[in-house]
Amino acid sequence: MTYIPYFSTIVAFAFAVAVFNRYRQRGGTHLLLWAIGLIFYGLGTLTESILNLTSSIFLLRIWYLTGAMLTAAWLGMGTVHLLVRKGNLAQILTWILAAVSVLALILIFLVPTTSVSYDIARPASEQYREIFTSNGFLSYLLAPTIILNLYGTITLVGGAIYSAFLFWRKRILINRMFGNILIAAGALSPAMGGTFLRAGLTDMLYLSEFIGVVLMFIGFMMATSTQPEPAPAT
Amino acid sequence: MNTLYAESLIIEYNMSGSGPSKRFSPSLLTEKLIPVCLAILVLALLAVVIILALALFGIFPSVV
Repeated sequence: MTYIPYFSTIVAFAFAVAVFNRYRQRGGTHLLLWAIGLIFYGLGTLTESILNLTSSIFLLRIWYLTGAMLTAAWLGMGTVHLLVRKGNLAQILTWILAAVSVLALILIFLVPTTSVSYDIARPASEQYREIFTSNGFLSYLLAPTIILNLYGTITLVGGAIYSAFLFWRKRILINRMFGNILIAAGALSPAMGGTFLRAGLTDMLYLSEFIGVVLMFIGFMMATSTQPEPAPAT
Repeated sequence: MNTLYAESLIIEYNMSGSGPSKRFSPSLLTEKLIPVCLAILVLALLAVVIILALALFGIFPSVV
């Protein structure tokens, strides 16, 4: 049993609250979408934590829906709203994502399960393929999951790298430049977690989720911090 | 082409003229380190995208 997902959950929900508070103060659809993405992140790690204690197929479905399918896409959608300001592209993509998310919710509860029982001694990410039937899983869930993750990773990480590059090129707002670098690195961390899992490094998967959310939180705080104005000359 | 937020922010910044505190002069170390960091991030992003794309077509074992 590992305690890392508990810490990831606490940080993810604290991060979601910080982003939502900023949304309430300043508005901005991107902040609302990031908060939604972070709630999915927190729900993913929360269900992962609970699945370490108790066996539940319902929670396994919620874990897969929030952690594997929706988090990256909704966070990336926030970045699309931040970067694409002209036209209705961001709004159209948000409605498409909302529709796909509802479809994913329906599909995850339609996927049949095998007779294999959930083993609380092993991480969810190591055994969900044995529990969801391969026919049902492969035909309904795999392609949408990969497409959602591709979209989320490209928009979230790509957007953060692009913003950091612009601030660097113009040599302005160093806090936003470093903040975006941390956000990009943090978003890549859980994306690489699956590779660690394949290599049998389960603890590294949990650690990558924790490092990811911590780096993004620090990056967000840095990017949104106000730089002190220089004292006026007397 | 859509106006990007970072660009619009830079434009706002340039027009406001409230500048010097928001500009920075990178140290020698930062000057070398940031491009390397950005290049590593781009490569890591490309690696993740390629792995996911291969998994989509069943060529690479899925990581999701």
